[in-house]
Amino acid sequence: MTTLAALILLLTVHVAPPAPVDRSTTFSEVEPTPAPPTPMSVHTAPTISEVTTEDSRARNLEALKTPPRDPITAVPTPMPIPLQFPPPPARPARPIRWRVDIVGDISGLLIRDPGWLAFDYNRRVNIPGLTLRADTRIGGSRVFLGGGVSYRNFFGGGSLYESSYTYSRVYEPLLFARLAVAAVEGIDIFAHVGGGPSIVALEVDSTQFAYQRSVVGMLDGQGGVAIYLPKKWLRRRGASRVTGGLELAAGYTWRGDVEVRPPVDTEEDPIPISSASLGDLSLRGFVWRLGLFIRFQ
Amino acid sequence: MRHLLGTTMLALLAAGACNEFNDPYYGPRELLPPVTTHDGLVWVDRTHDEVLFVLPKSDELEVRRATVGDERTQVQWSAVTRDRNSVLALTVPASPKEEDVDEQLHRLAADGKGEPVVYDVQAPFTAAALSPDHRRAVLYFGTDTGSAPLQNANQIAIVDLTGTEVRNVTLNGFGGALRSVEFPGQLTEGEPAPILIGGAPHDIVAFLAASEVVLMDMDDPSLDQVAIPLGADIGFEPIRTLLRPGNPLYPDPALFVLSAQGAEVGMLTLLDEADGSGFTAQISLLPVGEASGDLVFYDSAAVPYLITVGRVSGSLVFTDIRTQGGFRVELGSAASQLLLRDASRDGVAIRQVVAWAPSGTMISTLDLDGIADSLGRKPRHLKIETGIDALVQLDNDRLLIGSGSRLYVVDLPSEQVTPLSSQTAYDPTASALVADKLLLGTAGQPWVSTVDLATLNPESMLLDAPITGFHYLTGPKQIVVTHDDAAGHLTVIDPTDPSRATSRSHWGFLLQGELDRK
Repeated sequence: MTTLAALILLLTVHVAPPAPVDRSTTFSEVEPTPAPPTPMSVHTAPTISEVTTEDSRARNLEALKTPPRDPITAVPTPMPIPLQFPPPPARPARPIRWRVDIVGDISGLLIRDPGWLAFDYNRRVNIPGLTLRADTRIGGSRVFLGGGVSYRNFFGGGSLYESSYTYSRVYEPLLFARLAVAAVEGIDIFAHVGGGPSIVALEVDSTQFAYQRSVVGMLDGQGGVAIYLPKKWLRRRGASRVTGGLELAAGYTWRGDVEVRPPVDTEEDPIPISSASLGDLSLRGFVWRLGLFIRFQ
Repeated sequence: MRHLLGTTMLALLAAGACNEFNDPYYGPRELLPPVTTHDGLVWVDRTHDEVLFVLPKSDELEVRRATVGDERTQVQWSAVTRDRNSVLALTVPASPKEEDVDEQLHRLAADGKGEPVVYDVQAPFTAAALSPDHRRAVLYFGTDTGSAPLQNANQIAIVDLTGTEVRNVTLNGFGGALRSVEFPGQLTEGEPAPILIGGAPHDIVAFLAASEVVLMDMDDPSLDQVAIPLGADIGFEPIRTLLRPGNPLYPDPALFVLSAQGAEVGMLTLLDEADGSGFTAQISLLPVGEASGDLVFYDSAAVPYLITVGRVSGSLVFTDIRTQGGFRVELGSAASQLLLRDASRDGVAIRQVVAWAPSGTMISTLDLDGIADSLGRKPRHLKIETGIDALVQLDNDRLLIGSGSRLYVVDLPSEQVTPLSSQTAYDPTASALVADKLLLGTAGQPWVSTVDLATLNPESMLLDAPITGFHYLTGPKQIVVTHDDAAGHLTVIDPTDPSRATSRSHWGFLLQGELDRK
């Protein structure tokens, strides 16, 4: 929550107050031309020709005939020069044709299989993740199509009957396709479908230590809404290239069953030992996700 | 937007606050100690009201589950039948508030297959006596106080292990509380041994109570119980019985009752009731001179003897049960336990009595073929240098004695005592004799030792974990040692070739399928 607040604060600190005349701007809005700078007076030194008396003219002629002496110079006091900023160059409005997002998110997975409780005390699992995704506008419509990659992992720790202690960790790279509709600038309705390997590492620690790593398939489908700062709220308005926001999604994640039969970690030259199958573990269930993203567009 | 954000955060917090109240793996799991069956080991899982059958196969371990009772019941105890083909489990109400739940005995096949046989036994009995002929079990309270707030100490249940019948009976005695149950007539394992009383067969069970014995015919529930008072005034406390069938030397069967104290042995001569209502007992007390530790009977060519061993003097007392006359043979060493064996002298088969005492340093033997002649009463002695902690009769000819960090293998025919030294104490009861190989696996040690009794050469095999239990499976003829592990850890050893290369360990079998538990 702190992160969310910080990001929103960061993104809104540069927001210019919207001009009343800009309420009807579109994605390709042109920024208003800045006013010309105010003229300022320039102080200049007087010339010789401005001395008009005869004496002075004669002294001048005498002076021209005599060889020159070393001039006596004084350090001039610098005149204060007022600072002047150049006007920002007028940038053309950039229509949004593509978008690239960097997303940090936290997911909640509700695992239906009670067998998971052998590896954690709670069926609800928090899953942090990091995503890089991109999409592009389809024609001139409000529809964007793209995809991306994610990486996420989660872990759990529990016990079986308070005598055998368990630990689990799941690593998941995810490749997905994403379809988004910009209902209005600042709100996207989206859906994504993806999949990838789910690398499941499990440990059971009684008086023996048993460990296994399995790879199963994973499919993920989610839909949700992304809310981000529209260009018109940004300082550079239509020319802005960076925005940010948050997204909320829900869906279902399917993972293949994992047969839990961890081999026992043995010392050198052991008596051959085999492990029993503890059963199948199904790490699938409904998922929700809250993400914060920075968008380059 | 603010409203949407706030609602979202509230929903997330609510989801995070959802604790798990139905964790099937929460709390400790109550497992009763394993019992050894013909084919494997059986654990009772009291937490899940299940029986786990762990059956070693060639290279695998087969685990089966069977349900006993339900969530309203709890398994109070489990036992294996003497033939090791069945497992018994008594279920009682899980809570005193479960008023409509009856106590039931479940009999499950040792391989875990089939439906269990369920007996309504009416009381939460704490002990079971299994008949040597493998046909019956008698449930009783024994010396334990049961889980019921009020119980009938003389209530019993006679369970037919070959069928589905159960008889719930209260002993018709003289008020003494039941302490133990014995089957004195059944001297041969696995074989029915009805006692002929007046020509009629009776399968007699003896209930030993304070100062009295109650006899019952298990074959015929219609017959009267026979209650015999043994003299509360003389402090007669029956602790053991022995039944001598009738033969030409003494035609009526006699039940001998050993007392915890006193210089008499009770002798109950069993006689047929004239009215056909069963049998009765004629009481006599045989004076044996001092309190006895054990008793056996022996028939010489002309005399039916009762042999007792004096706990104080360590002498053998021979009593002619017809005349109550007798003689004493001084052993010259402490003795309180007896066993009879077959021996051979000059190619002639004879009977020999072996006497010993816990903590004693001698094993005495006495040939019985010439016992009628005082010149033949010459006991022989085998010295156990460090004393006897426990004695196991391996077979007719060999004894195994545990003595601190030493084991003694005693070969009785050759009168050879072989000490085996170890760094830690061995438990001789955790042993198995397979052909001529004696295998030992004492709890707490990581060794399984083998002694070739032909050469008396010991060898030891190192396991990967200390032993908690040593089991010999008579079906697959395998040694199974269990290790301390809540997930289940055991090692299967080939007794004919015990080595690390031929052994297999299995882990996690007590958790097998746990993740599929819904």
